[in-house]
Amino acid sequence: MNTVILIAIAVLFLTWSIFKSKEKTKESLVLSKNLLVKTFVEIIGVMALVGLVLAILPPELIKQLLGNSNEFLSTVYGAVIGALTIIPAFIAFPLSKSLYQSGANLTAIAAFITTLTMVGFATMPIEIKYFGKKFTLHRLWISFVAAILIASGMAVIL
Amino acid sequence: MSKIKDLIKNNKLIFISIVLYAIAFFVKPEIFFKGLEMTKGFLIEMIEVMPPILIISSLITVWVPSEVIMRHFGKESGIKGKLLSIFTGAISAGPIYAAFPVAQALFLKGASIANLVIIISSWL
Repeated sequence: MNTVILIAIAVLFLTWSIFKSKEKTKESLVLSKNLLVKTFVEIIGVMALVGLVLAILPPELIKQLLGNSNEFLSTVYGAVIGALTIIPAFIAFPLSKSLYQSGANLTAIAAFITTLTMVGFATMPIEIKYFGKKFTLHRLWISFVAAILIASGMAVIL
Repeated sequence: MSKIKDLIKNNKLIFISIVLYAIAFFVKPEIFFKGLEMTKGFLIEMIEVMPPILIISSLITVWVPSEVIMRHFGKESGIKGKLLSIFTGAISAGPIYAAFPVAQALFLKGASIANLVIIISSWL
């Protein structure tokens, strides 16, 4: 759904741009093409590696770790798994749902989803290329702590 | 010879994954194919999301003047800037690496570090 909105915004903006100035539109399209090539080269290796890891680690294992009867341990597992992997939304949400149905702790699922979105160790090399080491490392550790706090907050509320 | 070395050094991850996939292919073919299947899923997601994201961020770079970005996302933008950053991140789609080019485009135009982090972190 968000993708549709995104494409709509891009098309609208692009049409407006063509209408305003062909030169500038051309300039920005060249810019996007270069960015696309750059990102693609950077990300393809990360994707292939994460794909391989996910192929070796079956969802059942994640399920077992998050369903650990010790709530604190399962939350830490959830946060760490979420931080280490990039699991695309098309796997993550169905997975979280089945985790919940099969009795995983809600706190652990909250930690998992939060670090999945905010913390990305797998994409670290790319983030470093864009914003530098200092920015990336500080953002990652602060986000990880924040994710644990969010999950603990969820535990109190739920 | 040094050219090949440079090529490998610049594309380290790609070479590592080729080697690992080759090992998987010979040792455990089903892992090889499952891994490829996963990678295909990632690629499809990327092909859907990246072109509009990159077009939007390039259009921002070309059209939107720095003063406007500074006013709305800069150090002095206050709580309104924070809310706008949350909104920007939350309406966007796609994996976190799609956030980097957009955030960078805004940063180069004068967005504050705090808002940069908000945009990247609220990206879903």
